[in-house]
Amino acid sequence: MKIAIIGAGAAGCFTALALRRALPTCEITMFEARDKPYGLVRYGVAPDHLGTKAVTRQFDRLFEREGVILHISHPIKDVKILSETHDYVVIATGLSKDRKLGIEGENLPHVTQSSIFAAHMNGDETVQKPKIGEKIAIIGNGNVAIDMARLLLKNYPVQKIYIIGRGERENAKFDEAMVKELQALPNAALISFVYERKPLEITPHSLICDKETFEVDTILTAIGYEAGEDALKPMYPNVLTVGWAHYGARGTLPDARIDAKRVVDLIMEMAK
Amino acid sequence: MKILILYGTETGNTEMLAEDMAKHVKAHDVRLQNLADTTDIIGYDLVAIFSSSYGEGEPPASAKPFVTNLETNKPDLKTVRFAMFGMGDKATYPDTFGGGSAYMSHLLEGLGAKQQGKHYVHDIGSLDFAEEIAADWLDDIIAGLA
Repeated sequence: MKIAIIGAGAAGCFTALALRRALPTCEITMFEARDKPYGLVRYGVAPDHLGTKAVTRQFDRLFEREGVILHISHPIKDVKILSETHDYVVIATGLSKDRKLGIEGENLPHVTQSSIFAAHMNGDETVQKPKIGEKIAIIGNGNVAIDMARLLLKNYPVQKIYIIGRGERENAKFDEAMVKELQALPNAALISFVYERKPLEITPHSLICDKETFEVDTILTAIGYEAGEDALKPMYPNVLTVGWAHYGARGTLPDARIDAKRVVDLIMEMAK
Repeated sequence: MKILILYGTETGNTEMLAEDMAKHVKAHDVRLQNLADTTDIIGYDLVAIFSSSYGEGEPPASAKPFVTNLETNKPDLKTVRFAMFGMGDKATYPDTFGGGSAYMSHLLEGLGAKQQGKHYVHDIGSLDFAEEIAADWLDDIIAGLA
């Protein structure tokens, strides 16, 4: 059996691992658009979270000893040909676009989206270097916002960081351990958490919210990911989706791994 | 020697380690099993448990049925000899590092099981290879029982 996996991030790699276990002799070929595999584990997970990145030691084995073929710098624009040349095709491309705020000033040069910031901090030279000043607003109330604040405190001479959320404090999606890790830093007092502020407009020197205007020279957004216009669609019966390409931008590595098992069970069922 | 190797995992790192260890001691009569599928651990010379921690130092989700069974049914485990190898992330979770495996050790000992060797917790963010440390750890425990 020949199986193609599009995307060598966590969802694709967990799928390959589960496939190899279920079908030890199948031929697995992975196609990765970037010049290195492992997607958000490499470019999204903060560089100081080595424990999370350690999952790549499982993925390395796919190519070192499990005979999985990896084509890097090989974006797939259309699944048609792969669906004809392979028994099954699994779309594991994740979500390619940062969500937009949808407000005036969002495209100004001092506004950087979380994926760009994280990729830069992880040594990705293909992304534009973020402009980081001294007074920063981070928009978003999830763990990515915490990652950004921590990396700023560790690596930049910042004077003030606001972490701004639209929702109430109780609904913030921060993990307790992440907040503790942030607050343990010696310069953690530079951070203020601000809730129930809806961003309305960005100017070169401020972030205007409904109840307050923040005088800042840098704005970082961490409000999640969404599908780009180029997202592949499972338009043939032997093409399946896994991970964020399947269920949207939520969940972490354990969720991707569970979803990979779902897809492999589905393939086993279809192959009967 | 009859050895039961159990693992509790969420991202698969600990499952990979347990598989490596099952291969490492394959000269023995080894059974490898997910904690998710485990209730009975009686009748082995050694039960070696490999487990990660999640959240605030809790056992991984897949180990929860096993833990709940011990907590509610309180089986008599006086004849059980076990060893516990934890996987943790020290940088991100300094306060609860290895808490999930420590809790299981505590639970098993409370039911009469005898811990062999030392409860070791590997820092997954370190540059050391868990499988090398665990292989030595397991060899020492098996040697101590022989």
